[in-house]
Amino acid sequence: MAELGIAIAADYGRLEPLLVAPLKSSAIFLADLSRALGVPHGIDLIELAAYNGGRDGGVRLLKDLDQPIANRHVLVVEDVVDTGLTLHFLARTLTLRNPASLCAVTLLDRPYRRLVDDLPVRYVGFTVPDELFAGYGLGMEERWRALPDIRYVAADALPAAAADAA
Amino acid sequence: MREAPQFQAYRGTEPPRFANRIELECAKILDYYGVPWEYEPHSFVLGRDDEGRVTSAFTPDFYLPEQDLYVEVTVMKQSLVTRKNRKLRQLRELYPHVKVKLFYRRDFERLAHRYQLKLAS
Repeated sequence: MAELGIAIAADYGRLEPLLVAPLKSSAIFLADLSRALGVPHGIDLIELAAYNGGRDGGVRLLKDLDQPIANRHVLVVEDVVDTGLTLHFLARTLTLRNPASLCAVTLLDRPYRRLVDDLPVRYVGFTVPDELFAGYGLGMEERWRALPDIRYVAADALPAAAADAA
Repeated sequence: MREAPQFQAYRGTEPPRFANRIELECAKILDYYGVPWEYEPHSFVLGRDDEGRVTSAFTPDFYLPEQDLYVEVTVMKQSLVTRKNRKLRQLRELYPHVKVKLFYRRDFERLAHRYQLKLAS
């Protein structure tokens, strides 16, 4: 975390970036990153509706940002970048609001199933193997979010609904 | 497939006719996130006989035009995809400029946790 904070602070200096975190999985990472970032910055939160089988026709914002981002330096704080679909959507949506710049930091990068490559990921905490993880804000059907650190999830420990799908 | 969603990001001309549930779910996810996609738009010739007739070809399930990426999805278990893997290797040898990714059943099992898919139905 300290290394990420130093790298981001070095790049942004006095630009006062706005950290934008999608709820909920990124919340704990955002809190720690904010404390590790030794330069002035703002914080805002956004929440996207979970995929529901496509019945809504497209991604819905459950909570939008509280402030305009035009001419701000936006840094999206992601928990995991996997297929890249969520970050791709976020970047496309936020870019329409004319930020001065838009980049992303992800705690975990899992590139094996990446479907979109043109992602603005500039900082990566850890590139992880093709496995499932929980804890430190990452949950599976709301379980295990509160674990203090990141744990590998074995297939036989998956919640029932997920195990059914498998 | 009985389900016939109204796709927003589909860029093909004919209505897609998916071979299985996982293809449909994949299309719905791409559509949900607004990633333009086409269904089986191209076939790549992998082999011909002495008279020039096509003996082997590969038609990836999806093409993402903005990513210039082909995506093949398979419901077969990982241990049974040898033939598909061989075709994919041939495709990469013959068409090195073509970007293609194979999504195995295991990949969808992983995605199922994130998107709460019902792969068995």
